[in-house]
Parts: sequence; structure tokens; C-alpha cells
Amino acid sequence: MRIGGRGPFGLVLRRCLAAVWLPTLLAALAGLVLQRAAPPQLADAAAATAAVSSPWLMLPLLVAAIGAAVTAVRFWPPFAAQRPGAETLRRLQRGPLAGNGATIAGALTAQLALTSLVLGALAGSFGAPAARAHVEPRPAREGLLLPGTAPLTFTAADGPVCRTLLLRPHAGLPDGPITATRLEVRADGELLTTAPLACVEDRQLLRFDFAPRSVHELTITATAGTVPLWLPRGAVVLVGDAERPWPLNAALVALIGLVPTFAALALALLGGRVAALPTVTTVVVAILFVSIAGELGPLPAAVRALLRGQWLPASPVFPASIPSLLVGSLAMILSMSWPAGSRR
Amino acid sequence: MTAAISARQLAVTFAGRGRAAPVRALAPLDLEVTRGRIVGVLGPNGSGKTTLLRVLAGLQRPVAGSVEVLGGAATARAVQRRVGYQPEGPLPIGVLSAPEYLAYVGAELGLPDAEADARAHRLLTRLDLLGAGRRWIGTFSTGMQKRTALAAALLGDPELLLLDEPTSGLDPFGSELVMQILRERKAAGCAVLMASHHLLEVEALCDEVLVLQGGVLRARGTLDELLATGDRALVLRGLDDRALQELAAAARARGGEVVGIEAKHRHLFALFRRLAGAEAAGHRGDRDGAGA
Repeated sequence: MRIGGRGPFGLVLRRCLAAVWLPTLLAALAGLVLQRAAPPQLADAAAATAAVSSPWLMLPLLVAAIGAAVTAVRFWPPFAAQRPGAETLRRLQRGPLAGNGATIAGALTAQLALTSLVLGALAGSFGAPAARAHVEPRPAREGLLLPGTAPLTFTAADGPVCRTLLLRPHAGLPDGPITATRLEVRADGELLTTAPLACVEDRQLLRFDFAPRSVHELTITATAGTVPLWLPRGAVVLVGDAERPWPLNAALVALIGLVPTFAALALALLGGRVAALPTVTTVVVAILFVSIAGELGPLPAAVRALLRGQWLPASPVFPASIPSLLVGSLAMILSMSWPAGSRR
Repeated sequence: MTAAISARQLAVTFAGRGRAAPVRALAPLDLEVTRGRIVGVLGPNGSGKTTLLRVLAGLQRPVAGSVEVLGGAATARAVQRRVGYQPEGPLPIGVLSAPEYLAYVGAELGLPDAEADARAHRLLTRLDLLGAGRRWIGTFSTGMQKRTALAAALLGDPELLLLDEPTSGLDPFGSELVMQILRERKAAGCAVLMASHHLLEVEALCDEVLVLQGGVLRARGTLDELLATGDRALVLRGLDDRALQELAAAARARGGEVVGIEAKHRHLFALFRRLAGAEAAGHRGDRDGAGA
């Protein structure tokens, strides 16, 4: 009999795929049906387009993450050091991580495979546009924008070739009657659009396309109206012209989705030195639920970026995953330096 | 002959939980096991048998004394790979088939895949586990799990076997098979240290016995040293009671003591084997009849 993947990595990968593919598929189908049955209610559907996502795409991602993590924990006895067989495996295993690193890598690879497929297959159905780089030009100064005040200037260092501008200003209360503030936007001195741009609500999205061009400097001027506007960092976004491969973007989201699972499994490994299997399993599920469904981890932001057509490498999503990564790494280091099996 | 195990004043104490006093698991103990011998470790539950095996397997650090296994430290990876260890309890990964589990063990022992598969096939055949096919070992009976664990312990062709209750939960045939395999390993020069509650098996198999109680070594020695009474038995067949009484009187007249006259019966294993053999023959007959 030919047996492939003999080490913990191959064993856990196979076991996770075998145990989790069906629940993930069912969750993906359920998510699709629910998204169709309960679409998000939009005040301005034309402006929002794909920037709006319903929560249902998170469902298969949550199922895949929890399924892979729990399968790994139940499969590999050293996740609960007092479990029968744990010390037998510790004795067999080589290396400083004693097979635990390979086990975690196996679970993460299974999750990556499943979630890449889910995201690749479903992102289009959920309305994700083509992926493009989103660039946040830096404001030269911060200030309120009102007719008569100095224009606000934003610079994009590399002068990327762009085709769309997104504005989402913060709005304040005027002294007098409320009249929408009209804006004029110039790129390197040239008017970007002649279409009317008026803002009256706080964080109202203003979106317009223009002929693709390189943009080094944006100048925004208030020409009329009474609503004071403020454009902090992130309120002005240029969308690049070059279309990026969306399957790769989906795969990057799946990659970010591994971070909470890594942290949960590393913490489980650490906690498992003293805790029993049910406790460890509960902790893993709780961490992943809070991180994904509770939006404490980086995955929900990454999914939103995918559904908004943001090219992940140019977005701030990756830096946002660093804290979870650090927590997981610290837990791994502590579990390595805590000798197991010293107590009977 | 070089010693497979050499321990001097080996002692193990477990820290008490909370304010509880420390628990002495093994009082200072000297132990020497040479290659090509089977040594049984006997004692009631909690007597320190498993602790002794765990120390020798490199899983438990002693608080005092020294121990050498195959000429090295019990915790050294190179030594551990030459020692087959069969712990008590269930197998670690229940959702693998027996061939998958042995393939995993072989990989961790550093065996080439083809070599590991060939050895695994031989062991599974010998231990009558091939029929289990791709069934998960977690679904195996206790006896099948024990045999799988023994196969894993034997996979690396070890020079020392540490076995914790290797025959508990096995049927008589399984026990006999395990004992036969251990005798073969002994003949090949392997040292075996086995903890057991099965006194008859220890008596039939072991060259030497240690008896532990409360972590203290109470007795040690060969079976002859420990069990010899000086009595000798004469087994007779075909005499009636009167003739036996006459023989007993003659023995007394020669200065002997007649301890008792009792009917000798076969060992239960013989009956078990005869019944099982008859049943197997019956099944063969049924199949032959059906085929005709």
C-alpha cells in the first residue's frame, strides 16, 4: 500500500481536508443562498456598488477555520499534553517543535486550500469588482474645507496611473442653514471631472471615474455650500487603472485568514500543557469566533477589501495582521521553552 | 555481554499538588539488564512499574541516580530510536489505519519509506492485523490496539524493548503470539523489560523478575532463585487410588514427605485451543459443503 504524507504535516493536512471540505462547501452554499435571500439594503446602490458586502461570505471562512483548527487539535494529542498518547508522540518526534509546528502548518495549509477555493469561487457572486490598487494620497495639511478656505492638497508619491477617485469626507454642522458643499477636484492642476460633486452627510461616499492618468497631486476646493468638510487620512482614495489578478487577491485574503488560526492553535498548544482537550477545543473555537465573526482579527477587513476591489498588497490589511501574528509567535516560543511531560 | 540497561540508585519523586507531600514513585534502585534476556517487572498497581519504564524510555527524569540505556542517556534521540517502547493505554492517533500509523512511526524513526512499508507489512501479517485493512485504529478492539502498539515498538528493529502490560486485553492466542515474538527477539539478542500483572506469562517467559511495591524493590532474581522449593513432582498415569497410596507409603518409607495426591488437568489454554480449532474446522467444513 502506498502511503503519502507520512509526517504530521501530511497526516493533519489530509485529515483536515477530509473532515472539513463538506462543512465548508455546505456553509458556502448556505452563505450564497442567504446573501441572495437577504441582500444588503442600500441607500445609494449606484455609488456603493461592490463596496458593500453582506456578512454571509464570512460563514464558509469561519467554518473552514474552526473546522481545520478543531480537527488538528483533536487529531494531534500533544495539543493536550495529559491526553493518552501525547508522550508517545513527543518521544517519537524530532526537532524543537516536536511535530507541533508541522501539525499547525498542515491545518493552515488545509484551511488555505479550502478558503482559496471558496473565495475564488464566491467573490464574483458576492459582487467583488476587479482588483485594483487603492492609493491613499497624503494630505499636505489637515483643515476644514469650506467656500473661502484654502484648498486642501494631497500628494501621491509615485504618481500612479489612476482612473477613479473615492472621497468620503467627515461632515460637520454648519452655523446657518444646511446646504450641500460643492467640491472641485484637480489633478496636477487639471480639472478631473465636470460632474457635480456635492456632500451633505457625514462620511458620504463620492465616487467618480476619469480618463486614466498619472496623479501626483490632488487639489480639492470647496466652491459652494455651508457644510464644513474634513478629509482625514483615508478619506481620499485613488483607484489605480491597472487591473490585478483577482484569484491572487482572493488567495491573499485566504492567506490573511490563516493568521487568527495560527494564533489560536499556538495558544492552544501553550494552554494544552495544563488544560484538557475539551478546554483547549473551546478556547480555539472562542478565539476564532471572536476574531472572525466578532471582527477582532484581520480577516473581516481583508474580505471587505476584496469585495471592494482593493488590491491587497497595496492595502493596510497586511500590517493589521501583525498583532495576531505576534501573539501566535510568542505562544509558540513559550510552548517550545516549556518542557512537556515533566509531570506525570 | 554488554548491559542494555544500567541504573544506579535511580529514584523518582513526583511533586505533590498544592500542599500535598511529594510522592515517592521509585526508591533508589539498582538495575542491570543484559542483552538477550527478558526481565519481568511485577508489582501491584502504583508500585512504580510504569514509572521505571518511562524513565528508561526517556520520558521521565529521575530525581536522583544515573541511568544508561544502550550505553547512552535515556533521553538521547539516537538512543530512543534503538529502543522500542510500548506504553499502556490507547494508541495516540485513533483516526489512522494500522498501515498509516506504522508508516508515520517509520518516518519518525528515519526509516526509508520502502523499508518501513516492508517491515510494517511483515509485522501486520505476523500480528494478524492485515485483515483490519483501512479501519481506523481507534475502532480496534483492545487486543488489536495492543498488537498494533507492539508492531510500532518493533518497527525500528530495536535492541531494547520496554513493554508496559504487553498482553493485557489479549486473548490467549494473542498472548501466545506476543510471547512467541518476544522469545524470538530475545534469541536475536534483544533485551526485553516488561511490566505485567499476568504472573503465569511472566513465569513462562522471563529469565529474571523484579518485584516492586510502593516504589521499593522487594525481590529480584531468576525464577529458579525466587521460586525454587526443592520439591519435585512425579506425574503418573494409569494407576488407581490404591496403587497410588502404596506408592505414597513407599515414598514415606524412604524418608520423603508426600505433600498431596491430586488429579492433574490440562491448562485452560489447551481447551481454548482445541475448541477454537474445532470451530475453525467446522467453518471450513461449512464452506466446503457450501462449495460442493
